[in-house]
Amino acid sequence: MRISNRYLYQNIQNNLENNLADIYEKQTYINNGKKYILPSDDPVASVTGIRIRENLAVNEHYQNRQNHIEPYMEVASTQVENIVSIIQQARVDVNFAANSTRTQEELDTIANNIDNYIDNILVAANTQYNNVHLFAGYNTQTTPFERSGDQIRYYGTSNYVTQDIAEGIEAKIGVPGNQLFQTHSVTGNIPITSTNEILASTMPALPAGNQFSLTIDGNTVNYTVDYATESLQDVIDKINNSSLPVNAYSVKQDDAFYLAIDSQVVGTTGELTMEDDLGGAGSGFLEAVGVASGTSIIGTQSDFDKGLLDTLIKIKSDLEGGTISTMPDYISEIDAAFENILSEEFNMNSEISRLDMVRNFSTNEEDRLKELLSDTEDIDLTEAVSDLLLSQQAYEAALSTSSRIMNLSLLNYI
Amino acid sequence: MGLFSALHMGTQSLAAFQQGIEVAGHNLANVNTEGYSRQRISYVAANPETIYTASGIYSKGRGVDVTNITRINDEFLETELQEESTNLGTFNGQYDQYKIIETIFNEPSDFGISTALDNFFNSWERLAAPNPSDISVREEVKVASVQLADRLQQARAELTDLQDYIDQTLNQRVTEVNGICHQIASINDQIANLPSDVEPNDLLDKLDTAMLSLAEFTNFTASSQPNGTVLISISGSPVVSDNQTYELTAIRSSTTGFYEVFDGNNNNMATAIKGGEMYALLDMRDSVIPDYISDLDTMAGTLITEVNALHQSGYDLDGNPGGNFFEGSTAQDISVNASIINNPKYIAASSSTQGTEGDGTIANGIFNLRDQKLLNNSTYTISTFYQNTIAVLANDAGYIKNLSESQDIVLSNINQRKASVSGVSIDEEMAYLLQYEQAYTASAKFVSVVNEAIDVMMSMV
Repeated sequence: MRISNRYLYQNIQNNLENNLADIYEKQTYINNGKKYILPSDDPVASVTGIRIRENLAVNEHYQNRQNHIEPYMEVASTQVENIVSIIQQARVDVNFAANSTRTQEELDTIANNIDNYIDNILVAANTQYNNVHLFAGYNTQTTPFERSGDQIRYYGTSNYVTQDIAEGIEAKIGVPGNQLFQTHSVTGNIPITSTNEILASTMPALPAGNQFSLTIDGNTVNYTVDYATESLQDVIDKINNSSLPVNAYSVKQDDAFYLAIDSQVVGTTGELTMEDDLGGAGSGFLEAVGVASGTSIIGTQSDFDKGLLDTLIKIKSDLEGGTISTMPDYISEIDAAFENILSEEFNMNSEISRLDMVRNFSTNEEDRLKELLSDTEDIDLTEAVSDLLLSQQAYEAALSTSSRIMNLSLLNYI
Repeated sequence: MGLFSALHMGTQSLAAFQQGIEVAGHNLANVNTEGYSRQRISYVAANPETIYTASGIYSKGRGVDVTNITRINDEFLETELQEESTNLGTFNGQYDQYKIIETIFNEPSDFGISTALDNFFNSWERLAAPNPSDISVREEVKVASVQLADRLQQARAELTDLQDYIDQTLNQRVTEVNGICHQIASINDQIANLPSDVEPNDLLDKLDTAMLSLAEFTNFTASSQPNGTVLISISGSPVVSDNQTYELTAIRSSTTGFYEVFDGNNNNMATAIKGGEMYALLDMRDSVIPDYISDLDTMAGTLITEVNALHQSGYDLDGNPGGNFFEGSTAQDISVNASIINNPKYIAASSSTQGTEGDGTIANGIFNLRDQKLLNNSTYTISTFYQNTIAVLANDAGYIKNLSESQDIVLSNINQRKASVSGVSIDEEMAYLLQYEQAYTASAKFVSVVNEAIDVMMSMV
């Protein structure tokens, strides 16, 4: 092979450049602490890196959520515990009153105690944490329970407020108050396609009659529906705007809507009675939406006859009137309500322990993901530094040999 | 033959060896000249003289003649060098732009679109519960959404800026190509004007160098003409013939607004340019970057449609039905609805008018869009679609990077082979120089001997 000066210099220059580029690249990776700078440096690792980062972000997000909602759940659970212990005390008092030897004075004291218990229970049920009412369903900004004399109103909704705490896992925050103390609620079972279009086009079948009435606590209101001009939302507004203590709304399920009516009066006195087809046309609005037919309810309704607060109020007024014969019945009513609240408390506690479990899992997952990310992206410093040293030595050797060769020329000997 | 003819022979050899020294000097002087091919002088014995004597006829040498001075080069290497330079021009041109696209997407990092997407979806879930009426969480959703929209818009705008920049570069390259073509035409002119038996060594070197620069920009074929000139054509369109240049022109297209390249006969060169930097520029501008832009647009479009559909089915804090959450239809014009930016109470987080303060069903639904396979015939979620875009980018850019690096090695190998064949070796030239110098000294000595002989002869007179 013929070696020209250009050949020699080009070769030396190329080799030195390659060595230097190699050192520079290794040094850049060490400076950044990463195996790659641009995705094209290592396509597989960089895409894996992006995926792990996404998983980490999701994981971090859920951990934040878990930590964020835990106090809400703890506070709600503590308040239900308080309510449970108040009920236990009330039961002892009622038992005590059931003895025929009690004087009216003693009975009055017990009645007074019961009255206080009711207030204390409502204080617990009206608890808010961080501006959120825990026992009000979706109406988190509204005080759920209001007592006026012997009547207690519930202004919340029947929904559980939930939060995703992991992929596909929801935790319930608090309990809707009407679940704890039970109000009457009826939900229709015939779907309506839209809430804001006229009923004539959204109801599956138009009934002949268009008048119905709702009754709560002795108050009755009559309603007339105009299918050609009114929508489901208009009827709901009409019911809510009447003086009746009810809360009407639509429930959305599988893209269809169902009419729901909640009584706002707590306990058995809050029982909703309704009458459909007042004009006697043969079929009416409530029947067509699956709520009531004639005077009988055909929709899905809640277990409102275990109302604890109602029972306590009845006990209070019986004791004030000196009646103690009803006490044994009331005790079994208290027991039924107690059982209901206990089961809610149990549910809440199991939600909290599930949250703990999920959180442990999330923490482990985080460690695993971080390790994986580090394996994928981070440079092995020992290896990288020794590689760099090797390249550096190669470069120095190349420099020293090159400088010797470059000086060689016939010129030096002529 | 007499003594005077011997004197003549001596002077002729002096001149011949002086030329030899000049060639060695010319080589030494151009040891560092780019594209220079070393030259060799060839000597032959001069035509002999026939002498008739009584004893017979014989022929006698008459010294030395210079036949020609040739350049040492390998035509095959030259063609290979041009072809591989075109390839390097293509790969380097593409890789340069790919590097910019990679920085535009800025992945993996905490500031890229994927982080903005994560933040966007997560903020919706923070809103969903426990308190969708909390205005500070609503602000978070607003900020995360504005950031996502900005990031998408910014990436897309940077991609179109890159297209514009490439467009400008293409225009410059057309000018440069025309410049090189003029150079080639003027070299052609000089070659054509030389007498036909003269080897235009240095002009041929200049021609090779000019064609090599042209090769970096575009593919072309060069065919030698009988008069020694070259005919340069790009996929059949002549650009240089003899001393004529048929200039390429860059004209803005009325449909795309980008420059299109036309040959001297106004034919569009879009498919004729198949290699070199001009091809890379056209390819990146018209095929590669539009793909990434369309990916961003698809992603933004899906996000806008899906989020808006859910948002419109929900109710805001006042119990009014939700409007558009995002405005626009692509990554170019995606933005958060101005009324939501003014007051995030208009975010429709609830699924019904009842309990809008605690009902975060819609917010949760928007969060759940994260895991829904909405793109590519229901095979990709929004973020896997984006990750796929980055994966394609990483692989394509990595592939081109490898090509460009290995092409660099191929080219430097050929260059070295050329340097080995055509490069000047100082040692070699010094040896020639000594050789010619000694021959020159010897010839001078011969002349002086002949001169002395003539003196002796003259003194006899």
